[in-house]
Formats: sequence, structure tokens, C-alpha cells
Amino acid sequence: MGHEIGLILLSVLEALFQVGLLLVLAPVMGWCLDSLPLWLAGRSVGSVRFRLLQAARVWRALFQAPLGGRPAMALTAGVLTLVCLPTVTTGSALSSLADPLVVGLVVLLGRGFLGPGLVQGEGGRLVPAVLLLCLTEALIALAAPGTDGLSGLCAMLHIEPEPGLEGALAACALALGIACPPLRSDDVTQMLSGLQDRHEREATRSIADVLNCGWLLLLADLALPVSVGLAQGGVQGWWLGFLALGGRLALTVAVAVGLRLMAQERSARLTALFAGVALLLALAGRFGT
Amino acid sequence: MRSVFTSCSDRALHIFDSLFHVDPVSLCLAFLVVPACVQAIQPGRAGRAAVLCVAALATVLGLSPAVQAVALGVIAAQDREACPAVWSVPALLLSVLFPAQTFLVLAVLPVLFWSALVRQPDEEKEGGAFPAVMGILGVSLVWHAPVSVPAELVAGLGAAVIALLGRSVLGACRPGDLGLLRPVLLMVLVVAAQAEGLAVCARIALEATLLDLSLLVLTAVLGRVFPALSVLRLPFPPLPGLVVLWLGIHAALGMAAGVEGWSVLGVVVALLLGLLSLSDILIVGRVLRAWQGTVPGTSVLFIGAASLLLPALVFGMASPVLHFISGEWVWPVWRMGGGDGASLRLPAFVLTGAILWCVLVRPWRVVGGIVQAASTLLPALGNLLSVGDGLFEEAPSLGWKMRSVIVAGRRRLRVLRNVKAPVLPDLRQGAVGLWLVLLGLVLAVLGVMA
Repeated sequence: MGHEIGLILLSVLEALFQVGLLLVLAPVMGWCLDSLPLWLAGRSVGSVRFRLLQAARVWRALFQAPLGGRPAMALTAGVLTLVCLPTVTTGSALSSLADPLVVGLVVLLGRGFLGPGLVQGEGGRLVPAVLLLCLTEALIALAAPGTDGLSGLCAMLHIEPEPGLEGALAACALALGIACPPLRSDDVTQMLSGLQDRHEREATRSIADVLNCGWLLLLADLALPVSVGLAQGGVQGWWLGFLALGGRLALTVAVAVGLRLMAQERSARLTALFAGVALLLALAGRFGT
Repeated sequence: MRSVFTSCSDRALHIFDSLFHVDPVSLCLAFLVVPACVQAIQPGRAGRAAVLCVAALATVLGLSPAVQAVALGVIAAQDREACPAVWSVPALLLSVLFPAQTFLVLAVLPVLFWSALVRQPDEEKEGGAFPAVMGILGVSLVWHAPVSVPAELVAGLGAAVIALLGRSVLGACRPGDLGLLRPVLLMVLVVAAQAEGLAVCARIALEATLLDLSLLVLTAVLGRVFPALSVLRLPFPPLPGLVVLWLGIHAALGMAAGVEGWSVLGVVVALLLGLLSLSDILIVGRVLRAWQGTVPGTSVLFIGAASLLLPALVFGMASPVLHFISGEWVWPVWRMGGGDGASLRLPAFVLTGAILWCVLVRPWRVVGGIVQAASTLLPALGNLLSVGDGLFEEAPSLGWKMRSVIVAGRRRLRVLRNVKAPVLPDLRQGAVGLWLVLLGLVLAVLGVMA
């Protein structure tokens, strides 16, 4: 009995650690997404310290005064994504709730609730993103019937590797990243055009960072599900999963920045190409075995 | 004395059996059709709703294809903007002569959905005359045709969806309520799974069908009083529309896991379901914009609670029907099984989110704070739903070659339209009589053939 309670406490602790870590990482990833393209082009960029300080200010203000209903919904969507997705290992408390379709739709919902207005062309991102999420869910159910959500998929791929499905999911993640890229700071500025309150503007920027972090983590988990550690891995497995998390997120940010630099975001042809590749790989993996 | 009585009742039951479908699914559809007819009640014309109700019941329960065809004809005649008689009369007559053929099921579907899908939607009357009734009738049509080929039905439905979408993209007009086709598609999955003997998969698809139909009926009954209820159909997380989408995808891919030829078809069905959910976003956005009233925060909270409880309520009430399809039964309050080992823990997900939201908003600081905070959510959702506005506003700019092809096609169509269509008398006046005459003709043909 005591052993079980200890296990439950451990999984809750891991979930809390995961949220804390990702909430600290979110401004860093936002800084990378905004500044790395400029820095690579040889222009001067602000320090990452200011971004972190701004996030800290927003969180402190949030503890003093409550948010409005709409931005609170957007932040809820972001934090819910960060809690549920398998991050370091699959053993965190809420990781069984991570269904790719549900989590993806939550992030898209949060993006819609972010500002008083919508980003121009958000419809052109939502439509392919929803279709691609349906395709992802379908391919997982097709190639690995019996898995339960993303954490079940990670656990299953450790036991029984399926190269066809892994390739298909990586292609799906890439297509999702092309069709519905993370929000840029220009997009957020455009969304904020009607807002006067300074606190609310700063809060919205931080919430956009959290939502971007959630979306990139979902793509990273889809692209490299094997790199998530197992719940029974012990201390060594946990550290391996921690290192793999860093590598996975760095890779995803690098790909997102690369797509932005090459101006291939929202390219309909590339999206269709990678979706088709994913379908072919999954079918080949199914018929090959 | 007693044995005479039991034999009499046995005989009555036997006669009843030979006249009507008495399987649980048909009875459940009949149970759903009656409240759906409420939508047809207009002040001063209560008879119309009664005729519609009786005809719909006859279509759902009637065993003889002739009765079904006549009832369908009467229903179609009630609709002001129904399918042109050039198509509907031959389709219904052929469906009497060759009942339950695949291509005839597909041919009868336009008769049902013409006013909701094909006709150019104008602003004051949305979604045809009685979309909920038509949706249920479409489902019962597929359920009563178990010998039809599911692959052809899926292909036909997919082609119809693509054609309608293509028409609205090229013609720069908004598509109709394509979500009405989703219960029909899900019912095709049920029939296909039953034909292959995959009972669990059939049950999952039937759960999705019944939930979708009850959402349709709910919006039809209460939609005039409370249009915000149509939000329930959206595929976003707390709402039951997501449950329908998720269950549908897993049922389709459950077929793919069990049957050899369904791999590609299952993925196609999953993508079609996604496409239909997107069209729901468009429709609900239009409904919310057309409704000018403000929504009180209490009703937003009510919608949230209803969206958590509705799937469990519907599955609980329909549990005899689901038992009939497959014996295994789980009360899906906390988790809904997808039939293939996956499960959707939506309530846990949503409750976690609700706790987070309450902590962020902290409504206990102000009196009635939670109501106030909740009242900001629906306008924000309407804002999100306006994403689809730009998509069908203007026709795409095509190359010259494409344009010339389209113009030539249009000219040919106009020539076709100028050919005089046979004009039938106004069907609304003598609807029943006319259809009885046609029924007599069909019976005569059948007699000659026998």
C-alpha cells in the first residue's frame, strides 16, 4: 500500500517538475524562434534574459490579479498541453490523457482564444492542421492498433520497434509544422491591435510563448516518440529521457527556424507531399509485416 | 381460454413483425424522429408536422419498400425546395423495384438532402427545411440496406462531399450543412462492421452515430429558443462533437485492423470525418453570427456541464440498442473506449482544464464572478469560428486553360437546363394521392413481372 502511494506521489512530482521545466523553457524557445533567424542573418538581437524576466513579471502579476475569461482559457489550453504530453518519461501523472488529436485541437483552440482578433489567414492554418491531426490519429490506429494515446505509443515502440510508423509520424509532424507554424511575434502584435492595457499585452505575449512551446512539444513527441523514456526505467532511464528531451526540443526548434528561414512555412505543396509520404510509409509498414 | 389469448397475441406479434422493422436500432431511430418533427411545427399549420411525423415513422419502421418510397415522397413533397421531380420520382420508383441496391441508396440520398446541401443557402432560412428528420431518414435508409457494398457507399459519399465543396469553392458560395452526411457515413461503418462480424467496431460506430443524431435532434428541438446549443457539434475538446469525431476515426481504423481491404478506405473515412467537422465549424459560426442576442454566462456554464454529461446520458439511454449490437458494455463516464485498445479520457482532461481555468480566473473574489468570466467565452469562440469566412468569399484565380474548361462546361450545362424538364403538378396539394397512384403503377409492374 505504502509502495503504491509512493509511486503515485512520484508520478505527481514528475508532472509538476515537467510543467515547471517547460514553463521556464517556453520563453527561451520563444526567444529562439524570434531571434535566431535575425541572428543568423547577422543582425543584433536582444538577450534571452529580458524574455525570461518578462515571463517572470507576467507570472508574478498573475498571482496578484486574476486574468480575464478569454486569456485564461488560452493559458489553460497551453498549460494543459504541457501537463499531459509525455515529456521526460511516460510515468508522469496525467500522461495517459495525451491523445494526439485531442491535444492538437486544444492547442488550436487556445490559439483562437489568444487575442481579441485573429491572425490573418488563421483559417488557412486551421483547416490543414485539423485534417493532418485526423490523419495522424488514423495512422497511429492503423499501424499500431491497441496503443492508448501518445504515451502508450511511446511505450509500445520501446518494446516493438516499427520503422514504418515512426517514419510516418515524423513526416506527419513535419507536415504539421509546415502547415501550421508556431505563432510569430508579428502575428501576436497584429492580434493585439485592439488592446490598450499593458499588463494584458505582456500576458498575451507570454501565453503565446506557452502555446508555441506546447505545439512544438507535440510535434517533437510525434516526430521522435522513441526518445521518451519508460516509466520503469529507473534513475538512469530518467536522465537519458531528460537528455533526449533537450535534444528533441532543440531539433524541433532548429527545424522550425529552418522552415522560417527558407520561407517554406504554410507551403501547400510541401504539406501535401509530406502527408502523402506519411500515408505511404504507414501503409508500406502495415503491408510489409 | 388462456392459450387462445396467447395464440392471438402471438399472431398479432407475427403480423406486426411482418409489417414493421422491430429491431432495436430501427425503434431507436423512430424514437428520435418524433422529437425531430417538432421543428416543422409552425403556427397555424400543425397538420404539416403530424403528416411529416407519420411519414417519417413509416419510412423508418415500414418493412415494405413501397411504403417507404411513398412516405419518402410525401416527406419530399412537404419541402418547398425539394429535389427536382425529374430525379426524385425515378429514384424512388427504382428503389421500390430493386430494394436495398447500393446505387439506389446513393440515388435516394439527394432526395433527402437536396434542400439542405445543394440548394443555394439564403440568409433567412438555414440548413433546409427539417435537417434533423432528413439525417435520421438517411441513417435508417442505410441501416435497412445491409446488402449494399460499403466501399461504394463510402466512395459515393466522399465524391458527393468533394463535389459540393468544389462547387462552393469555384462558385464562391458557402457550402450547405455537410455535417448532415456524417451520421450516414457512420452508419455505413456500422453496416460494414456487422457484415464482417466485427461486433465491437460496429458498436463504436453506432455510439458515434447515435450521439451525432441526438445532437442534431437537440439543436432541432431547442435551436429556435437557444441557438447557442449548436456549439455542441464543434470538434473542440469539451464538446461532444469531438467524441463523435474520435469514435468515428477509431471505428473506421478498427475496420482497417480487422478486414484486409479497409486500410486505405479507413484512412479515407477518417479524413472525410475531419472534413465534415471543419464544415461544422463554418455552419456553427454562421448560426452564432446570425443570432444577435447576448449569451448569459449561466448558459455557457450549462453548455459546459451538458457537454460533459451528454455522451454518458446518450449512451446510457441507448444501452439496449448497443447491447443488441454487441454484448460487452462499459458505462463510459470516465473513459470512452475506441474498441481498439485506445480510450478517450475526455472528462478527466476537461476537469483538469476547468480547475486550471478557475485558478487562473479566481472567480470567488467577486460575487457572480464565474458567470461573468464565462460570458466572455462564447464571443471569443464566435471570433475563432469566423476563421472560415474568408475561405469561400471569392472564387480562386485559375489559369486560362482551367477557365476555358469551366466556361465550356457551364455552357453545356445551360443547354441542358434549357431542355424542357417534365413539369409535374404541384406535389404539395395532392401529395398522398399522387404517390398512391405511383405506388399502384409500381405494384402493377411487380405483378406483371411475377
